[in-house]
Amino acid sequence: MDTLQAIAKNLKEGQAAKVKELTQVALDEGINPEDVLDNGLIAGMTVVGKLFKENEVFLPEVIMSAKAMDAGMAVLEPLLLKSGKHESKGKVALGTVQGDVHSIGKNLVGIVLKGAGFEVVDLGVNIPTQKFVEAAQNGAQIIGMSALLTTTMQHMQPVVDALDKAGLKGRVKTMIGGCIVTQEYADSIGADGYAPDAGSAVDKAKELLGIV
Amino acid sequence: MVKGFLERLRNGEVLVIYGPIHTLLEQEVGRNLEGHLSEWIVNLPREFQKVTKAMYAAGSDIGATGTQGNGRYRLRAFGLEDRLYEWTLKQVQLTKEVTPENCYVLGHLGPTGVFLEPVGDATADDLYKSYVEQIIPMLEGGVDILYCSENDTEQLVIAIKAIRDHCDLPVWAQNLFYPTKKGFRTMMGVNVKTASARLAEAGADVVGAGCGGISPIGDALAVVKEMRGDKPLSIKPDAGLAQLVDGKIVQPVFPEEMAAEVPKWIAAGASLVGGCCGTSLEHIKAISAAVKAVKGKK
Repeated sequence: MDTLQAIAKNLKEGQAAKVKELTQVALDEGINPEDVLDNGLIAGMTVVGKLFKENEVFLPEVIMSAKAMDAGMAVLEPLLLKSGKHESKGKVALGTVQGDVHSIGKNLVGIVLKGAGFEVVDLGVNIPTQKFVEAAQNGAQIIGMSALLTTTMQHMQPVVDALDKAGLKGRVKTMIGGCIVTQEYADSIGADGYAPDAGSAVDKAKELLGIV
Repeated sequence: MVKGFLERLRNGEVLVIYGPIHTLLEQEVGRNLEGHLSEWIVNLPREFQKVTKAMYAAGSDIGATGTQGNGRYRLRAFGLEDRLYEWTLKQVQLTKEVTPENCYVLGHLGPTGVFLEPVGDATADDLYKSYVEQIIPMLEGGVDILYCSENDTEQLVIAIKAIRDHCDLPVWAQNLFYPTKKGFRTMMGVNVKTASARLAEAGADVVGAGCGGISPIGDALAVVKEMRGDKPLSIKPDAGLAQLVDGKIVQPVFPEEMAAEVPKWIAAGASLVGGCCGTSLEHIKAISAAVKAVKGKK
């Protein structure tokens, strides 16, 4: 098994310390940071994402793998920034809407999007409309909103409208999710996309940005 | 005073669970409410009591205090952590004031929203303390039952211990299950049989399942069957995924449809039945009527 395969394997097993160590080993072997990212970390995380979609693994495994990915990224990030060669697939800002503090689903989406090579800005929970707009103005290409309650899903429409008012409609895409949310609801508020789970969110994000 | 809650269940009675106080309160007030549920309740005490009385009138045997968001982590997300004691106490008191003799005030320890290490950053001790600081004002307010609901069964085990260390009141614990390709599982991946047995072993008096994506048609019955054990069981699925249509909340699963499932849940061993998100007063009425039909009560 080569080093990149070992990174992917250990990432799949949630072994953060080992992934960090092996990431350095890979670099010491002369493998370039972009390669380590794509064929080590992202390759491993993609497998985890697939397993999660198939319910072969669950939330704890995904989170432990995400931590392992972060450990590897901590080693790679300064080098990737320096080389400037690696481009993310796109920038996505995620937040749970105003009045809602549910975060698990949003966090999962963030993990799998990062794992698929997107740049993710997690705004947090209880996020007012203006903060979503600011994220768009700061370069987010997709605004992802999460809500879990019927009493808070009503805060999604104002964000879509505010982005339109700010002249960002079309340029910045909106995506929504959460147990309570459906495709029909997304259509009714004018959101560009909806995903029922984290795995589908990656596919939808790619579709919205025209990425294969 | 316990007023015979566990005795009634052990004697074969079936009790009806309250509905989602946040939705019902917002419908009562007639406008979108901003901020935290507990803030709504303490600022709208008359409306809250009106909704609570309406739930009892519809047939609920249990009063929801709406305290499920009063854990320190949840309140912290709103910058309201310092209101924990005061609001929890007030919510229990408001509920108690309008609770009839044969009904029960329920202290609701809702999901913390954080994970135990190593998945998250919270230690078992952190979580224990977060439960205790809610339990104290609940006891002071005079709850009859303590109830906890979590995505992680191990957090429920901690909550059960926190309750047991502080009182002898009935302890009711609920797992949330989701349909997966590997059967119903908690978010952490634990199956129904194991997660339910864990609660019983940890000292819960009533073991439950609800919310989470269990459909009331089909799923709920399957879950009750898998939960079967020595303790009284509760089932509280969402009334389908509630939709917001033209500003109104619409439940895909109608009251009659939900009520039609109730006799099956009872036959499978459920002693407490009801619905979570999407459940309306009409649903509670229909569920209550279904229970009476099965149990022959007046």
